[in-house]
Amino acid sequence: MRKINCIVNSKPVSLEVEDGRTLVDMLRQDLGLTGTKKGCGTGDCGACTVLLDGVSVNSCICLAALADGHEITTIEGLQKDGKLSDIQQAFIDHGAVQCGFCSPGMIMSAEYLLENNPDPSDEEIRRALSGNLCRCTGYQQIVDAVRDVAASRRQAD
Amino acid sequence: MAFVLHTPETIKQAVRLQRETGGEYLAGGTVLLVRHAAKPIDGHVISLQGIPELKGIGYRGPVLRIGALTTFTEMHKSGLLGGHFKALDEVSRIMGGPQVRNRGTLGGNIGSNSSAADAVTALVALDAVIRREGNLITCIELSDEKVAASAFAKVGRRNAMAVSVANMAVARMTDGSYRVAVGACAPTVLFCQKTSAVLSSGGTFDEAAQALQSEIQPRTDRWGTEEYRRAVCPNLLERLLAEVAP
Amino acid sequence: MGVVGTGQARSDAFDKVTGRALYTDDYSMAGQLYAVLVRSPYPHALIESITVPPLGPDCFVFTAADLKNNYIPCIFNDQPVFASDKVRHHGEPVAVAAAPTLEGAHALAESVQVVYRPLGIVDDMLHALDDDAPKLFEKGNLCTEFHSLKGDPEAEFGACALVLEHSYDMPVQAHGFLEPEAAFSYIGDDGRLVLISSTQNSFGDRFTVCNALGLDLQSVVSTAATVGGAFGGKDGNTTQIYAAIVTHFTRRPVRCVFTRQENIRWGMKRHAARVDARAGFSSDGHLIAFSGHIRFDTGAYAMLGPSVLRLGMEHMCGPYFVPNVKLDGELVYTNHAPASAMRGFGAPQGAIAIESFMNEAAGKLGLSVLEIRKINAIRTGCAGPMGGEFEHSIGFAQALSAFEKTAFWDEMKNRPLKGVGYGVAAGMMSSGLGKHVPDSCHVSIDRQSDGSFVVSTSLIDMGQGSATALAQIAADCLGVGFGQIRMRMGCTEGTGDSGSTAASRSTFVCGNAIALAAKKILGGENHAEARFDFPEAGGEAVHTMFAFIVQGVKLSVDRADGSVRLLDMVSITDTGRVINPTLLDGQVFGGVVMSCGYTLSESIRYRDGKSRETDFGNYTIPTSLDAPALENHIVEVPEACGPFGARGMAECPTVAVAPAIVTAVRSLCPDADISSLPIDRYQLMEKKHGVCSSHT
Repeated sequence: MRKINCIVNSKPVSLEVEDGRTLVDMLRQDLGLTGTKKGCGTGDCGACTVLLDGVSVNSCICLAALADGHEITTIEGLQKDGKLSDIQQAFIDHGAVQCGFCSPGMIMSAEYLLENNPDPSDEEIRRALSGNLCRCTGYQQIVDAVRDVAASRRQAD
Repeated sequence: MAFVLHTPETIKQAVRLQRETGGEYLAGGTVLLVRHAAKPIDGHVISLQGIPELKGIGYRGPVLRIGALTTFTEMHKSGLLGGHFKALDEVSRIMGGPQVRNRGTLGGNIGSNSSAADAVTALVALDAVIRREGNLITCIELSDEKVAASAFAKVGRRNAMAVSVANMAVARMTDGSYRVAVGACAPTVLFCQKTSAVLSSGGTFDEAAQALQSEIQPRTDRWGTEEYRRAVCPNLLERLLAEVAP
Repeated sequence: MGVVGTGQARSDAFDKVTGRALYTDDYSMAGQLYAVLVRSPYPHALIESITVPPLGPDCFVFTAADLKNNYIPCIFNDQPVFASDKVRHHGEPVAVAAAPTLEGAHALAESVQVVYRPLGIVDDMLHALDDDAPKLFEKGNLCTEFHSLKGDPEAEFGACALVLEHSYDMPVQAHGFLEPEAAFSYIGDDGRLVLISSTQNSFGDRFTVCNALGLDLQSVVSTAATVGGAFGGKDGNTTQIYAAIVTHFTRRPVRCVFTRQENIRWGMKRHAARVDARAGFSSDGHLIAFSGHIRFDTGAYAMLGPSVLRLGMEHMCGPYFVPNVKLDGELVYTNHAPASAMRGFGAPQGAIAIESFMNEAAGKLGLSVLEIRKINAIRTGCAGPMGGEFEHSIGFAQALSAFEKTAFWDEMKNRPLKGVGYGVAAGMMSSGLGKHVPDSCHVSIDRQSDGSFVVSTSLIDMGQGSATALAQIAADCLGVGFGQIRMRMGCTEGTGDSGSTAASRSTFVCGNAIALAAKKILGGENHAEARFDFPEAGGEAVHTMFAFIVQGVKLSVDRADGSVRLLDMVSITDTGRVINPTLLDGQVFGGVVMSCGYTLSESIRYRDGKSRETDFGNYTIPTSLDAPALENHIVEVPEACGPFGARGMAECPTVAVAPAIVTAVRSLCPDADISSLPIDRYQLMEKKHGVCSSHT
């Protein structure tokens, strides 16, 4: 067991973790942040996507111990003052959510995309989401939602 | 949950720890931690995350030095690979998926010992130099003076998150020679020595394709058949040669 | 101005996009145990002994010996909860082990000693009925068969201007829902066993648990958590019985969650099929005769296989009138993981034949692919392929006409792009569980003190949006706003048994029940209950109500590596009146991409009875980069007995995708022999350079 200190959704967190504990298990079980999902355990589906120092990663193949000194954002951290992020709202508006299991991870990947590429083509949107599997939506309404947010953000600037 | 994790802060510490414990190096975790999920690793794991000398991509004279712990995203974002090192840039752009590229490292890809490791195919064609300290890969070097142009292609079952059924990299060198490397068509990534020699001496494409067939050793496995790999390799060669043509 | 017909945002979307929605694995309780299955390492073996080691504190193992009735109730009751005398598939559960940690449960499961005597394996369904095939059951490996004859196809083939014949091998497909199977059970404050699970049928689960343990139905409460996708793969027992067994005997909270590896290797599957078909056309394009045969591989146990066989055969002729039809099918046992319900339920397997024939015949008879379909399109009142009649509304002809007006059709006919293949296909899919299967929905509506209403039904929203669509129906029936309706779904408490959320039935059967209950509320009651029964098909027909779809795909083929690049896919859907066009589009798009995977990149392959595919790395479903751009349009031919004129359509989009893609690929690669899915890239490649036989 080792003690780690990190920031999760802008709040400092201190806890003890086993060396082999995955980041996703730490988030879900030790911190009760069950919004991040486990779909495969092998980094193949993206349901566990979180932002680690602002970079999207599969938390099921990250070690909790190595989060020491780093910053993590999960789906629970996206709302500001109780207001949904524009991406969360767009997912609702475009029918981009069906069973919802892929949605937290998908939304984190979309946030990461638009932070780094504010004017993505549809192909770039699809590539940016290609590590997040969805079986319900066929991806079209998700792509529409992300395109819409990108356009709105550019307009607002 | 059974391993002991070490977090050295220097290369020397890491190498010493590995020698003392017989443990495995952990780079980005996209290989080792997937393995651990399937069958928990016993023993010792030496994380390289805390060693700043292993990171960074930049030029020292005509040599581009890539720290072993540089991620694929960092390599692509650096903008330093887009010219004649395009083969490695293409790998960095398309291998796996975004989350995998954000964690996967060049050193880790080499250390995975997989014949389908996309970056290794590119590095072999680019005549990269792998620097080590002990058994730890520390840095990969590409030379402006050696490479004129390069290209990479992979074939997978889908357009992302796909293990290569076959991959290939071709480099046209500044001295007019060619280097061809193939992955997933032999027990290891293969430098196609005969094919490269034919192309370097001005041989025809058909002669090069014949040489290619004679030196690849594809098998039928879960990802593809021997027949498919033999059929696709010459087609990849044709495409990549067109891409690097002067 | 009501909400039916609008793209009302989902009622559960806020919880899902914020991570608040609770899926089964999100539940947790102090003192909980982890349940892990002891599974057979052999595909076929006798069990000689099961030895449980001395158990430490808080460690438990349960076997068939602990059960009152060791079977899972289904059509044939041939599947045990735990294998006791023999195992019939690799991974079959033999016992359940439970411990306070997941690692402890795994270690405990591994310590259970089972001695097996391996038997010969039935690994190929085509040889399952050979005389020397090892027998899974005493009765042999024929689970059930299907035969139907209308008219005299054999005689009529001779008189046909064009007879086409083809065989196809259709693969095993996994559902690929993102949320693995999961159950969580505990003893509630009132002493009843509470089962929370990722399921399509709460009442079915309750019955399975009570039957196995010899419990009174009232002593178990079964409820669905938020369900992360199902598509038929959670229609029946997955994890539920194992969690419940451990909770029952230990009185502890128990979690039983499959790994993705368990799901891919041993979860329920779509039936593999060998399809043989023959179709005879007159010179003016009429389908005169059809003879079809399908052998389905149901794996080790029947599960819903008999219904899949029945529906698959019924749908084999497609949405066309055919006067002479011979249909023969068998459902055989093999030592593979059991196959059961998967979206499409036998129809996608057969559609590849009829739809390919329609396209081929069009070309050979000088008709367009839409014309030939219009000539043969069924209409209300038409005779069905097995006798009986298509009694309910059909908008297939209208969908074909609407397809004619699409930009896709204009481009395909008038300005086809170079290097692009175009493929059109049509599909139909029934709604309802079919003849002789009880198909009712119970609804209760309770008026609340603030003027809102609680609408209860045991049907489940597993992502398809039923909670929203049904609330829209309720809101308009009751004359209130959408926000005044709260749906209470998926629980056995306080509502009757409405069966499984499956068979594209929910909107129709529950919408109608809601309408009936709402009438009573409007009559002044504060609590109203209603039941609606799905109308049964007349005559020999199995189903009586269908949805229809016409689809066009644009794609290119990379001749260098044989890969197919899907560019666009346009669908015209007829499902009667549309309750929510945004949800409908979502169902079409998801079903289409699921079948794109079926056609191009997915299959479970067995070798010596074991699945070669084991996880989401080597079982490759489409990513966002593989899916085409998607478009859906509707035609609305209202159904008189549907709620607001609606018919169900959730499975319909999966049916015709494969033949559309195959047709388009064939147009670019006319020499390719495509007789199996996923399409073999080797068939599509230019094999030119230095590829000579001496190397193979």
